[in-house]
Amino acid sequence: MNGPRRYAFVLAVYLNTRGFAFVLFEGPLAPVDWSVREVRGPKKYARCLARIVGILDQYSPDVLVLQDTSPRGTRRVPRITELNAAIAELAEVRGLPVHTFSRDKVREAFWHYGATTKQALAEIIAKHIPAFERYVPPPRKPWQSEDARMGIFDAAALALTFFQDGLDGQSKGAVG
Amino acid sequence: MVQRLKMYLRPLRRRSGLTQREFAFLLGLKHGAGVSRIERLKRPPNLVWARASVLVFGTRAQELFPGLFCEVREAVRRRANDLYEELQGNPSKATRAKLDFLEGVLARLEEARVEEGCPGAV
Repeated sequence: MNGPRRYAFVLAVYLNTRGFAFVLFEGPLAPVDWSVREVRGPKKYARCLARIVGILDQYSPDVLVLQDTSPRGTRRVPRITELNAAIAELAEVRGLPVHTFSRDKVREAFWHYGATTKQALAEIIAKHIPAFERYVPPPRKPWQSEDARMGIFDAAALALTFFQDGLDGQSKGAVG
Repeated sequence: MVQRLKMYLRPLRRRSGLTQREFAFLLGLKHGAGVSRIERLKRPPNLVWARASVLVFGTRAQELFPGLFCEVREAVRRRANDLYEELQGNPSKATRAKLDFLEGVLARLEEARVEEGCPGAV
């Protein structure tokens, strides 16, 4: 007889210049919580880390998914690379498995949907997860900066890549 | 399915797009802060709010408040056990009937534990 099924909590965190966005999934296509956290001003690194610790404490996820900011992965500014590494380290201390995916890997995962831009990716995710429909920002003009809500889709794309990839994602050693 | 969160009010509310204030209105609360307190587990939902939430989201109460159900079940089980122990050796005529009843209660609680996917007794 099959026992009760338990879905894993998968937390995906995407860092950006304004702070970070996170999405927590309980099984694919079932978001539990999501948010964009703006962290501005001094001590951004410490404040971001403190907020992420709070999220880890609150939800105790089973898996953490981050962007691969290693030299082989996606190139990001040093602050974000360091913060990503610090989050991975934090997860390691808690015995939490970390999976990282580069921007190319995420694009590859959504390639068969024909998503080549972040906007298209956001629209595809929103189509599959109706809860995110209202967060799809309007297509940005060349002179506009990226909408903060796009962070939700970046984090969701990481988590969905993890689900698609099964457990074959790159291990945490590649972070930072 | 064993659910991880103690309460699924927040995920369901957010998926529906309702704000705390709007959801508070549906529950008959004056302010969104009441919903916030329930969602942050600062205050347990009362029967009226729990029933209203079940109706709003069209789900079963066990699925909406899995942690609460497990906690209540475990607390009742502990108290039923204590009472069972206390009644042991009591020569009263009613004791046998009470003990039989409590055995039934404990069996039902165990069934509920398995059905609700609650963790076993500590």
